Amino acid sequence: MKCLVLILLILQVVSAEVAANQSINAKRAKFNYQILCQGCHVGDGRGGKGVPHMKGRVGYFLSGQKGREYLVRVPGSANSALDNVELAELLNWVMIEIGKKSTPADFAYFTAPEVERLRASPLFEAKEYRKQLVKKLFPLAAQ
Amino acid sequence: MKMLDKLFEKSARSIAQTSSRRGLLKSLGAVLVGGAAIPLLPVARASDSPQYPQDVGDPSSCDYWRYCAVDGFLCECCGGSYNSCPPGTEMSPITWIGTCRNPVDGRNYVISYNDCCGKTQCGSCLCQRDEGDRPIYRSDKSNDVNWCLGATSSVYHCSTAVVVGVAFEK
Repeated sequence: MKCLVLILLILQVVSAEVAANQSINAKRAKFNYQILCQGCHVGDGRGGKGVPHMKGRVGYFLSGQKGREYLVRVPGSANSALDNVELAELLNWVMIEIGKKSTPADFAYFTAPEVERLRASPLFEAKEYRKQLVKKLFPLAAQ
Repeated sequence: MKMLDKLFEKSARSIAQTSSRRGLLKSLGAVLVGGAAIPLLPVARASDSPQYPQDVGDPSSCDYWRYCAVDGFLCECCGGSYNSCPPGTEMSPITWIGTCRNPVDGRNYVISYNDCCGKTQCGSCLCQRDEGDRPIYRSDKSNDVNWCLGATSSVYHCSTAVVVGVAFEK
């Protein structure tokens, strides 16, 4: 009986993980990244001349609410041609595939209603805003 | 701990009582031979999706399938190739990206039109097909942008057409 309970528990954990992953269509998210982001951020997200380096870093923005909001309000996200569902999916994919270890393993996925609300106030001075945000979120790194 | 001992002892005894060594060898053999044969079945091979397309056509011609969204001089005619820059130029990492249909397999591929920069315009094989090109107000989807802005030198020489993936079919 105890063995059965253990198996059921394991199955529950596995199905919860599968459900979380199912909310991302990885092929569609990668394609949207390639078509809408890769041109500037390049394939692995390391950016370039004047383009932010996201590889292994972008997930740090999830450490504060303002940082999380910035990821949706930044012009590349907020003004993209994607609908809210696909934008949320793309952001989640970027956090996992590009953010790598900078992204907390238990981060709360972006949802379509959250994205809809946040992209309604896009940033106009994104560069300056990011500078101030980085100073606030990571005072040591900004020094 | 005692419970685990009992559990394993019980399951080991039960296996020992209901199976034979020959039976085990037989099953193991079947799994090994059967497992090795699975990749040979046509259904398994058909499910493999090639990441890179089969090629057809002349890369120095504007009609070549990868150039469906290009606007510029073809590096193939300038001492480079469709996926490499001519000597003395630098490939801009920042680029414009579109999709083109491969006539052999009928699939759409994601093409990165990286510009080669650092020398004056090549002047050979001008090609302007512009599929999917959008006005400059959608700068990420416009091929009128000088993408050499991402390179050390912003002087444009020619354009490549590098396949970077398979398009997602909605």
